[in-house]
Amino acid sequence: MSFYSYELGGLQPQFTGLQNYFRIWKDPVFWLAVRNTIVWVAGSVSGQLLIGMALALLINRQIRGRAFFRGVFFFPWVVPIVVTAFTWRWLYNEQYGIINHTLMSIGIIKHPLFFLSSTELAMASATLVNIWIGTPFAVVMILAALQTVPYVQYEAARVDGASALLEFWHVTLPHLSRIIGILVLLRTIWITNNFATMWLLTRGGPSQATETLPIQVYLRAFGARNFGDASSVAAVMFLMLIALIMIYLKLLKVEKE
Amino acid sequence: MGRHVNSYVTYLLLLVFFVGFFFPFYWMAVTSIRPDREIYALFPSWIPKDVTFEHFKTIWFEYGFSIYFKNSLINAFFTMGFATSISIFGAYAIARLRFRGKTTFDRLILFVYLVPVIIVIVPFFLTLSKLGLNNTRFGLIIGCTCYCLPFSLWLLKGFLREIPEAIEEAAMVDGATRMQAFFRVILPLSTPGVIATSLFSFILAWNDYLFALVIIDREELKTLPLAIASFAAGHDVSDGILMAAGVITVAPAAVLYLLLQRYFVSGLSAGAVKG
Repeated sequence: MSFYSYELGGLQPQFTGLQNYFRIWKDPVFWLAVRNTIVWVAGSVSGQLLIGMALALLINRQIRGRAFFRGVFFFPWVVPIVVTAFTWRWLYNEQYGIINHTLMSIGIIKHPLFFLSSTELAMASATLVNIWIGTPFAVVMILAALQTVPYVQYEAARVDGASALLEFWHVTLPHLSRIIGILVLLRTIWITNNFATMWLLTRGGPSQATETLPIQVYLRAFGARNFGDASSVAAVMFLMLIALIMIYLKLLKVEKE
Repeated sequence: MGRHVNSYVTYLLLLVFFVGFFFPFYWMAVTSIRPDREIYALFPSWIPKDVTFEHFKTIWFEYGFSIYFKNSLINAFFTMGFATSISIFGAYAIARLRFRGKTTFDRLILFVYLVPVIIVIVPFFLTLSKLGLNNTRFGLIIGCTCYCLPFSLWLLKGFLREIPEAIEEAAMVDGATRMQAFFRVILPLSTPGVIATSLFSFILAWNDYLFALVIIDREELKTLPLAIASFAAGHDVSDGILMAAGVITVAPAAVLYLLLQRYFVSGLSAGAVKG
């Protein structure tokens, strides 16, 4: 389809070769979406990973109620994305949102912030929501990997008088490197493709400040009714992702052997 | 002594995270049961003073959420049925039988699982239009089933591999056909796997937004997520009503999760989470 000129309600689809691709290549809007996607993915993945790691390490300590915490922190996953998005929009609300309210009453800000409707803040606010959504997954995966660290190695480190930080660096982290690799790849793949979260939070606005590639595909297809262009953007996305997926499959294979 | 202090710090940090993670849910629930004047008060209180179920009544009876709820239920239920019953046979074939191109097939499943919906949604939409299934319940169920299948297959395959092959060989030596061995021996043994798979497909279909957005246009066929989203687009809806809609949508998935948590955890090891 990406090789055709295909507009709904227009003429019959016509084969136009690579023309769609050339047009997109020269389209600044396409490159804007590429940039937005990179910022969105980098921010979300690193945030999810860091917070997920901190939480997993906390839960993994010899404390009571470990199973409880593990179950509880995974709960956000079963909440439909639509509900999550609208709840956050309500929290972020300019006039009545509790976040603005709290910040103003403790005197950090004087005027309410336009979290999702100003070009400066929208991307950061959306990324925060995405970190909140994706962290539980990171926690569960890292927690599972932490169980595989042999306890003897911790004891050895303690006998040698290693500090907590050194212990983490030399004992824990090497055991986690593989799961971290897998997590980064998986999350990158999924967040790059994620349409609903951003769409429901901002619809790509304000003035395209948060228009990521999936949103552009949707807008080109079902907004502008230009299936040819939409398919070209989707195909470009797909090519980039194939590279990532291949690396992921390789990693899994290495793990099996 | 130092250990005690340490564990207090641990609990304190966990508490901070806990509050951070659950505050949005709390606020959603609280907003849904307060009267409008409290929602839009100059200084909203952290704990609701008056409790009212007005918002729930309004959306359920006046805004037709009983219909959307029914639609969501039908969609999730049939998707669960299709995805699980198809994948149990597929998973069995991959786990046990030898056939040409099996490894490729196995790889392809994982590959398809990772391919984003947004990339295939346009061709999918056009195919459904050609079949005349746009804007039908069945079309949406097909969409959600396609979305669930790669993962269901992957999950069930993992469970089936855990069952020793000797068990069904023994049954077959005793004169059972492969089908009999499958139905009488393997299926009962893989019940936890089947439950986990059903749960995941139910919740994936229950939460689906993108397929519904593209496929469904008719008011009387809308699912809950789609209804909420199109609701919020019209600005005349109060936030209390919106949050009540949220609570109604979360409730079934939450109940399932709480009841069957251990199956979720077992599914997780297979890399369960999508999105």
